[in-house]
Amino acid sequence: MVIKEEVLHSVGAIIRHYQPGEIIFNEGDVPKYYYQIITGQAKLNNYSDDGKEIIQTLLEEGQSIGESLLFIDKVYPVNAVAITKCSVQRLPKTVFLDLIKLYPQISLDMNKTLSQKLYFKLIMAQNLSSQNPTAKLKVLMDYLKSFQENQSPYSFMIPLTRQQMASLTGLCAETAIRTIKIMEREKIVKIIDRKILY
Amino acid sequence: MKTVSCMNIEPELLYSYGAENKLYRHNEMIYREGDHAAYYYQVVKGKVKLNSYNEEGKEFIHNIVGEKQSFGDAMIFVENFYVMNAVCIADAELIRLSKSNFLNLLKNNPDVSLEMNACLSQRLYFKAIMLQNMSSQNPVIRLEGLLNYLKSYHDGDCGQCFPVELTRQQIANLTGLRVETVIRTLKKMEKQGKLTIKDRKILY
Repeated sequence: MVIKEEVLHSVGAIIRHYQPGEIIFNEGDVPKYYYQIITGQAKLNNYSDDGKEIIQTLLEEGQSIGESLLFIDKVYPVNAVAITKCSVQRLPKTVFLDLIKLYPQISLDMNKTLSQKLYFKLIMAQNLSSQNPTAKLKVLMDYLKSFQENQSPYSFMIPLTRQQMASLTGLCAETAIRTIKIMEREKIVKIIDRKILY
Repeated sequence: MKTVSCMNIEPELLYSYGAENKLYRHNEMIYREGDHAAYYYQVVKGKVKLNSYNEEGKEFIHNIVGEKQSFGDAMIFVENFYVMNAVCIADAELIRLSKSNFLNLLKNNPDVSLEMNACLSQRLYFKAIMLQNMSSQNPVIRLEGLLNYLKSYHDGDCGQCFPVELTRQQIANLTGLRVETVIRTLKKMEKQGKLTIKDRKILY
């Protein structure tokens, strides 16, 4: 969790509920709020000029949504969309910036949060220029697994749909599905009940 | 497009936490992909490139940083390995501060921590845009994505004054385009007035 729920509540954050597929903010909007997920999953996405969805980030409980835009003077370069039903705390930008100035520990936590998000972006950006779909999917899986304690083969269940894996790596869904089957044959992954174990 | 040069922490402040100056030779490695982040680095003089190699040995230059800029600092906060090498491309002088002392400095200087947030946010912003542009089939959009990202590290606000220090081949590696396509697209962008080419140097 980036900021404690009680702290956000005490300075006036309100709770908003979103249905699956509902927009939290749109690309091009002026950032006005700090958002933090209490329950549910959301994604940051945009679309390439040929209409392909690009998932920039997947977010879950305790994570903040698009907070980096509160520190710079720019409009949102991405949409934020609820994947599941979501409850989200929302705090006006000015209150958030005061809060972070008042409590240096929150600023330090934010250093870490932003760094983790940047780390993910660095890995994904390196992945883009790769032409090999197996290599692309492996980079994504390695990243996700790197946070697990158990590093033994097939111990980690990939928590993404095939479509999400495709949108994160810039592949077509069909290519992702075909490539995962190839990876199964090459014993890179195991598939049990459609779940991918890596 | 206004950007800030970051991080640029006052050298005196860094020294008061035990930072030291280190000299590096042209082509010397500062850290390697796979190393753990042990130091905060800020350039005093010279230039540093951040690169990696793919399985076929092709070089990917992700960025070139110069004076008064830091590099690799996100990895101080992330418990993970460097994903790129840092290599000097000219004789360079760097200030380096150990990770634990750097974290102490941040704790005792909340304004530096706040500035760090702005710096990381700016990098995230341009990476997000680059990721979107790079998914395009249109080579102009791909190149613009890369050039805007590189320029965001450049201090100052100017039209077509940012020298792109990558060769056409290096640009091709980064964008996944063929080198012929890069050359043709750059010429097209010059005609459209999006950049200037002087003695083969690209000014964006």
